[in-house]
Amino acid sequence: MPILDATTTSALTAVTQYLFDAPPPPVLIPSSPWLVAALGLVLITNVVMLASERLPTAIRLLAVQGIALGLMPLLLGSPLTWSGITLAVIFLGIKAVALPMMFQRVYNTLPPTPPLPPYMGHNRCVLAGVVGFAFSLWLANHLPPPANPLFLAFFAPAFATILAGLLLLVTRRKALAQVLGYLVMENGIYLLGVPLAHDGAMWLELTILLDIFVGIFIMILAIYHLNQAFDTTDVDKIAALRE
Amino acid sequence: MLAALVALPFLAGGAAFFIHGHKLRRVLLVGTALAQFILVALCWLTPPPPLWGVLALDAPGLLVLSATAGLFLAASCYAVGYFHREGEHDHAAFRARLHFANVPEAIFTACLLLFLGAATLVAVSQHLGLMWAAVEATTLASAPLIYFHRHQRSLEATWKYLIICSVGIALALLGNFLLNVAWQTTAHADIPMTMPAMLASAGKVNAQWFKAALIFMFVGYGTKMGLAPMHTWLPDAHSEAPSLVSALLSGALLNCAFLGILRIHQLSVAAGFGDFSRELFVLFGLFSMVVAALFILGQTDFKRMLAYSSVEHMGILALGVGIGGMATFGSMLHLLCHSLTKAAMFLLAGNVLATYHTQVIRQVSGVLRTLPRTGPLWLAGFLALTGAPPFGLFTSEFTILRAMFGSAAWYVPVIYLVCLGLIFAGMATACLHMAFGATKEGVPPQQEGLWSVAPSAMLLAGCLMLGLYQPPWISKFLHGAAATVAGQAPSFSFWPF
Repeated sequence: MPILDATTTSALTAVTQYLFDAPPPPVLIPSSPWLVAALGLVLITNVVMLASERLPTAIRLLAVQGIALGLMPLLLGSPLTWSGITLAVIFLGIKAVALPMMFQRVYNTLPPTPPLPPYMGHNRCVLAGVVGFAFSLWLANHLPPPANPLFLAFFAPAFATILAGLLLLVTRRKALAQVLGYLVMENGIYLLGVPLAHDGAMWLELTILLDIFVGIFIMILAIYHLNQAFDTTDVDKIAALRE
Repeated sequence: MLAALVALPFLAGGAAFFIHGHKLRRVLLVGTALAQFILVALCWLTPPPPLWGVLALDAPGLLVLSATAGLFLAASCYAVGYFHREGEHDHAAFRARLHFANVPEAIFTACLLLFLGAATLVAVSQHLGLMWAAVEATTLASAPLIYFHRHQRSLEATWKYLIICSVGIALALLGNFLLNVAWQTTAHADIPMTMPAMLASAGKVNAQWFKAALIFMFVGYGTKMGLAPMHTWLPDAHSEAPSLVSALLSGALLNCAFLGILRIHQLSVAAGFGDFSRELFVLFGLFSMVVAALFILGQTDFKRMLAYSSVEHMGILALGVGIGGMATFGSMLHLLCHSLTKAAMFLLAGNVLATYHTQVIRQVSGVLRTLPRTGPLWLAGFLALTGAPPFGLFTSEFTILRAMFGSAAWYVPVIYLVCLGLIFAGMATACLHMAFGATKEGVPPQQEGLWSVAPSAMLLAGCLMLGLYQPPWISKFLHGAAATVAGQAPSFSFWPF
């Protein structure tokens, strides 16, 4: 991981100062310390992923993020139900195990290539991610209060994760890293949906998960073919159709 | 009934993976398409009862479903001729001089059928979450279809399609969640995300959350529908996919995404934000038309030209709903006519491509003499597509234009007419050059098979009929669909018979 340069450090300090000097935000902090820890873990993985240069690191971080997300249904504080446990097991299985393994497998089959620098330097990516989080906090403070208070507690981390995913998607040059970004974005959207979930809609969550799983699977297949057809997965070089 | 409609193509698609005989699989494809068509026809006679509270057929749903089933029947007939022509052996790519193989026919057929299943599910779904999942499923089922010819260009198009549409659709999912928040009045209220329930309780929504949800859903489904500026995947995917897939993408897939936006518009009207969503429709609609006009002028590839024409027509659909009043009816008619015409044109473009081995407009001339059946249909299709008089698209475009006067700002009809004029000029240059002119050396005149022209002829005849004479039951039905979209009628009260 690159060491932050002076400009980034000073900008980060400014952002932190703004956050902590400002009047205490009315954003509700979830009562369960485990939940706070899980949300924090998601945010940390976002930032480290934005900073990471090598794909295997990013894949491992994705698995960590998957664990934090998969545990969410259990951490919500309400008494454990069988449907909650089932969901957690399925989500952990897919988000923390199956998808990272799929990424790792396709990474192993691709010929080794040196890491490609992102369109925007790693430092700036981290900075943009942090600014994204600050913006999410600001947004959460200025949104009309939703009826479900838990939603507001989830909003800032979830929205920051969506922004981080988008950032990964647009700054990375390797096709696999872009799909990883897409998955981080989906993780953010999933996080936003966690406080809204209720027992009746389990079929829906599973359908959505299936869609995403198959989607990632097809994208990874496409990457495999891209590598065979173009001898590269640098999307900069895959541009015959540009107008 | 609804269960049969949805299950049939999925089951047939699953079976197609495992059938080895080409003949049997092709029979399965056409048979399923025909069965689906008959089932949809039965839906016109008697409204099918709702199922599990999430599946139900209303007028806009039936409209999209009918267009999909009709097109799929035409495309599957065309596919038989197409498979026959393509064979399964490797053959030299005429573009880029690459060697390429095709995706195995079993996978291709299976994905076609799964696509039909997903599109049917979109049309009959009254549950917004389920609808989202079905729209995403159409993306996944159609990605391997675009990559039928395994070469670099089609792969690049597939990649772009997957990434752009997936991100777009992810935004729509975010919109779904925000919609849920907007409807929540107490902390742990159970929000049934079904249309009737949401319409009934639309009066109590939280305005700001609703507007945020509306924008996310609009951008999300708008990406899939090909509204500019989110349209960038569309010309690539349509130009690189096999022609029958382009026909289905343009004629069926885009409508499905449009239906998604219409559902949100229905909610928006019920919640009292009709003006807000209508402004969005007008804005995106006009912008799409302008972008399409700019790219059609001077276009060098005839399949890309047809693809940009789809962007234009999606813009007109959005514009019609945005203007409101009679224009909404025009929009519904336009949806039907555009599906028929564009599918016919893509199938014909497939014939031209198979004969001339190029998509470059300049390198194609004398189609009238070289392909005596495709040529006249190509000209008729060009006239229909640009909104020339006897065809249905003229009626719908004129209806929308007439509704603009008096209910829209002055610049709306001006931009609309200028764009239509530019697009007519651009397409006329290309299509007339292709149809007339000297025959190409090395491309002898040939007699096309019935399978490759009959589907287009039927589709164009349908569009012509809608222009010359609208049977009263069709216009009653289209008015019903328009009233449902505009929130003036309960969803299920307008059945044609």
